[in-house]
Amino acid sequence: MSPLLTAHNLTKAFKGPWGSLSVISGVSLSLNTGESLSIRGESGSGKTTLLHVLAGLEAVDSGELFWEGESPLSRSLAWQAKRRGLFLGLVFQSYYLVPELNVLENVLLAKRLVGGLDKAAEARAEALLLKAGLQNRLKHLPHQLSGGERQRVAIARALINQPRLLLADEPTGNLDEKTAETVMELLLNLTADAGVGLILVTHNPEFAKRTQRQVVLHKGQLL
Amino acid sequence: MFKKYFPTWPFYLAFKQLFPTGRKGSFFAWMATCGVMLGVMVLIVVQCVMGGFGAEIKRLVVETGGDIRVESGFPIMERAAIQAQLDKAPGVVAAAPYAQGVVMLQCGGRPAFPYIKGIDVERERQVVPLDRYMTVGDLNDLDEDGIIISTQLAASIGAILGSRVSVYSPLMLEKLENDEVLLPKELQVVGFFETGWNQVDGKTVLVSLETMQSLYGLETGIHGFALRLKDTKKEDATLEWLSAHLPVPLRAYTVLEANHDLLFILRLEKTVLFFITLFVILVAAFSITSSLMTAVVRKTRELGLLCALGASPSNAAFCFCIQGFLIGLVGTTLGTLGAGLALFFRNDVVHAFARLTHSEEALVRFYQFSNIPVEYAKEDFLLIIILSIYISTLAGLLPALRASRLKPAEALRSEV
Ligand SMILES: Nc1ncnc2c1ncn2[C@@H]1O[C@H](COP(=O)(O)OP(=O)(O)O)[C@@H](O)[C@H]1O
Ligand SMILES: [Mg+2]
Repeated sequence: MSPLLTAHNLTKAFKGPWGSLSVISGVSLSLNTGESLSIRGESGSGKTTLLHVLAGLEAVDSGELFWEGESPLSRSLAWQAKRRGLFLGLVFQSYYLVPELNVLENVLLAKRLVGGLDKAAEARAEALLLKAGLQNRLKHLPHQLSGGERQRVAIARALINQPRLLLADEPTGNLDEKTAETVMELLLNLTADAGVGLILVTHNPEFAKRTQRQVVLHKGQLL
Repeated sequence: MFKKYFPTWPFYLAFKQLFPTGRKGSFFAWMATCGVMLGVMVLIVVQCVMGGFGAEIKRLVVETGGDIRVESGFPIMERAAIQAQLDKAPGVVAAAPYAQGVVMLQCGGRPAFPYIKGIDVERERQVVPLDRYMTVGDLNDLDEDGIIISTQLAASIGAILGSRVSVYSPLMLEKLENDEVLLPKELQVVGFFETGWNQVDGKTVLVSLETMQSLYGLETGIHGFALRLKDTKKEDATLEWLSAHLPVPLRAYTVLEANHDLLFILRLEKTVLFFITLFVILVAAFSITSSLMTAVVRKTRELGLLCALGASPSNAAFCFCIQGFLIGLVGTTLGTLGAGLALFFRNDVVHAFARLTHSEEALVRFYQFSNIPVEYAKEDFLLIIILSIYISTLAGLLPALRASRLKPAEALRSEV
């Protein structure tokens, strides 16, 4: 059986009038189903870029990428988009909730995008939000929530499609210590319970230790 | 199949962005909708009223002039023979002879230069609803010494029932050149009429055919016949028959054809007004475009997010087109309803306005009708509705194109 995610010798450089800036240079990694991995690294080391590349949101200059044995880079944008929605969930440092939608609608939006919104999906969304401790906030708009609450909504949204992999980019970067702890707890528990693979980018060494594997990214290279 | 190529979520998201959960709609959405609504309303009202004017004038032209005219350009001397022929033409209800021209009219020192028409009362009433036009007096009193004057003309020269008016004809000038003097004809006002069409009411007098013949020195000649048809839809058959059976110099043509220029101008005016008022919708569309453009910039990160959640960039961009479409749809619906309301109460509105500005008389004088006519033409409505929705959707296209060019990763990194 092919691993959940395989990256082989990925390189990425940003080019512009100012020249070429190499951000990812020869990154290879592999993740098995249900496995968790943390990536640490200084600011500017290319962690966000790497996550975007792994999610197929950013084109690479060279290298290979496989999602459960399939290579998204060789497929059409539409295929990538569709597959991405089903295969992986993303959590960002600054939440990115849609301000016009309430909590429940935000979570269900991810389901709408991949199609097949039904009663079962709604029930699952409510169950996820219950686990996130937001059962009383379903009708609230994002601006009525605290940062920690917003991130918990974002985690629920990332998991609504029952993805195989969760990519989290400094999910606690904007939160105070105590809130960060609860959010991280939720993230780790939910992924572990559902057997979802996790790649967690974080600055916090404590959090990093809680994943099965840890790597450090330095100047675009994994150490 | 449909779902595969046209996912429904962009509609959902577009709708939610215009009408966010828990709010009564965004300010932008309502303003843009109002713009489209006003545009559609103005367009429909203007087109319906212009169409109404056109239809009303057409109706009056036909009602006061008959469906078909038979003329030759010269006085027709064989009146009885042609009359007999016209009476048995297919589809013809009645044929009325007439002689017409211009005269000078004087009543108590006040002159006027009306258009004069000599008629055979019995036949004319079968072609034109003359009796209905009479406001004062009786059509039967029109003898060789009588004259019937339109109300507005009567008012302007101060004629009342029984007044004596002097009529000077061009024939008098002709005689004068030969050193003969012909005295003006003294006629007595036996009635007033009003057709409701200012063009006629302002400057027309009616006399008996014999009076007109002597005024113009036609002897027993006439200028032509006005025909009323059973069914105007079958006018072509009648025209064909007439051109086959009438003696050579005589020509038959429809009255609408004769007034082709007037009707063409009316249609042209309507078209020109259509394009001018269309600009209201275009302006609204520009405001939609600029607002949506700001939205694209404002929502750059959200667009990136949609891609991260599994949307293709083009689908995410599609959202903005739909927003334009939704604004167009709602605006057009409201505009159509508003126009319906405005047209329904049009006369009350105009009369209230006229009373307020003391301009009721001027209104009638310059706009021919005292009530505003409307014509609800299906094609006009359809054209306006389709066009305004189309333009509104196009207004969302530019922002959508811009959104579709965003790279997901860059959009997610965007600072705004
Ligand atoms: N679109 C871009 N154009 C040019 N340089 C970029 C772009 N995006 C990121 N970078 C650069 O790539 C490097 C890595 O960025 P990033 O992946 O955000 O690092 P991290 O997430 O580890 O802080 C940084 O030096 C940043 O300036
Ligand atoms: Mg980063």
